[in-house]
Amino acid sequence: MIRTLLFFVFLITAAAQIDAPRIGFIVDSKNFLRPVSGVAGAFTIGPAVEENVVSAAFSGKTLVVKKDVELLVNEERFEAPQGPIEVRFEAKGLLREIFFPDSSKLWTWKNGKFEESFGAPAGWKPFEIYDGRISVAGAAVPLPSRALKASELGEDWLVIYAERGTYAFRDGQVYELPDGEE
Amino acid sequence: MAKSMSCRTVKNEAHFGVFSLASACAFGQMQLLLVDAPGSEKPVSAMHSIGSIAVGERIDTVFRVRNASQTSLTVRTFTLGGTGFTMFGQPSLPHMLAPGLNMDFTVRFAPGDYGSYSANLTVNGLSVLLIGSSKAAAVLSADGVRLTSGVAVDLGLAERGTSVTKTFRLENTTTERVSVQSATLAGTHFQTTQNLPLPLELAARSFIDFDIVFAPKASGVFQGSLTIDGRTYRLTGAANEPPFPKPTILVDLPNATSGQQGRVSVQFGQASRAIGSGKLRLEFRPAVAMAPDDEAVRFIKTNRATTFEVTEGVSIPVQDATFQTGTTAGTIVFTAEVGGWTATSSVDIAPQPVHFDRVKAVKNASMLEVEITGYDNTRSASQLAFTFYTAKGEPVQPGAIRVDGTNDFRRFFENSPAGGAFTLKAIFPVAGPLGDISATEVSFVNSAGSKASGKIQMQ
Repeated sequence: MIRTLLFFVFLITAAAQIDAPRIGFIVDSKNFLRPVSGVAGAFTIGPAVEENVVSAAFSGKTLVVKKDVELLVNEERFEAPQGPIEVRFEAKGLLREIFFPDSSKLWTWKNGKFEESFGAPAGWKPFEIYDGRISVAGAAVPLPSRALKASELGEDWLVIYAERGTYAFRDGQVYELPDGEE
Repeated sequence: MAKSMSCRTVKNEAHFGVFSLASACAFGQMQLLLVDAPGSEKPVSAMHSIGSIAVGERIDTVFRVRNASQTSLTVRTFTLGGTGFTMFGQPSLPHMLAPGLNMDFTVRFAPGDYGSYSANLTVNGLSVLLIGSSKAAAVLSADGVRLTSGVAVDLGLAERGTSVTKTFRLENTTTERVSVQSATLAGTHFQTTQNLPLPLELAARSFIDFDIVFAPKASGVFQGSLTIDGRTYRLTGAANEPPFPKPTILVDLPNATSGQQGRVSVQFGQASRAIGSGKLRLEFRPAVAMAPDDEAVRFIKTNRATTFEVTEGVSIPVQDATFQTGTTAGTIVFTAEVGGWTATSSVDIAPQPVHFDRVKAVKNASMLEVEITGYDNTRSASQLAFTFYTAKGEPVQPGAIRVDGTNDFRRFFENSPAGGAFTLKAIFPVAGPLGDISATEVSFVNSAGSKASGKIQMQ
């Protein structure tokens, strides 16, 4: 017999807990960081929240933003090498590692600070881009133009920046993302 | 008072280059003057040389009659006799000329053949002998009208990319052989179909026809010129844009529901000859009364409207522009406007039960968290039910937990620009062990029906 008792408090909290769905963040063509909202196939792009952004990744819990020589992890700022970054998150969305491909530096997040080493761990990204083609978990992602880079858009979502558009990818489905600039 | 005719000698104007004496004509107090430029006049001698021109050309000379007396003067006779001379601008007779006033008229010398010409111009009792000469030359005409140098010949109106042709005739109207040494056509959009065989000898009373083609490669008004042995004729032509083909809108949306991305194209039935731009607009008419706009209904690239360029030869000016159907039931209307044409196409997005985009259920120490992301394209969500299951698939007591979310959702949708999209986070404090709870199922009811999420495994 199941003796678990559920005391339901939804009735008094529901209103505060309905919100517009937030998916994550992209870097637009003018290097602005912009939030992406909506659901699959029905995206909206919000106003810029950061400028001069080189790279960004969002796990759903942790937002990592790279500017020129500055790294922001959930708005905490760190001095960082120049150039783009590649980010690896833990399964629960916490930051694990940041790789700086221009300098081959690898920053590992431990106890609230970074430890630096060199060289990227092999096969650590969930995607691979080669010669303009991107594959995720070994499966090719069809795009109408050459893929340039990708990163985590949000929980379960990837953003793929291609020559002629920006795409969101989840569960094998590709969606085109609206332009932030209009 | 009797009037007498007298001729007196005056010094000619210095700008003739020589100082000579000639007789000036007056009759009583009536003076006959030559208006050689606006604001300039000079006395006319008893014999006045009009000049020499080619056959087919003409010279207009303005004369002035002035009443230099203190009393009114009545002009009763006004004649011009002589081949090749005509007169216009003179008043009807009798004509009263008040003291000090002038009366201008024009004598046109247009010889039809080569040779020397003369005519007698008489005003009241005052006479002047007009002399002129003409050299033999070919006469240019078009549409049966003789052309004098300086005139403009309109070749007409043509669509850009097409042409109009006018036939010109170069004719020797004299009894003597004439020669045409040069003929030059200028103007970007004017051309000949064949070159004249220059130098050209035209026998007496013979002619040669040739075509000038106005073939504009742009729209606008254009000018050119045809110069034959130093005589220049202006050419004009106007070009307008060809009409745009009628556009049609093609919508590629395999699943006409919310949360979809489709493609829309604008096509012409044929390649466009026109050049210009058009506009493609997207309008959304929500089925939900008084609902805020759904910002997700849009073109991916350009929100609600996009302009497109049409170049010559284009048959699909907009190809596969991606759009989103958003998360609100209603009608999406596409309107293409180009070159005066308007084409529309619409897509109906039917109301549907709540769509679950993502349901996530997490067990914490003493509570269950269920996060539902989806959309209600009717914006009418009302009854919600949460059912938790054991690992064996049995519902956890008390079974489905039902909630009336009507007011909460209504308040949310009234102010949300996200259409029918929502994220609902429900937290269930639990007394007792959570270990046996392994899944949950959520169901929503809205005006279009009921929808369940299926079992979602707890994380």
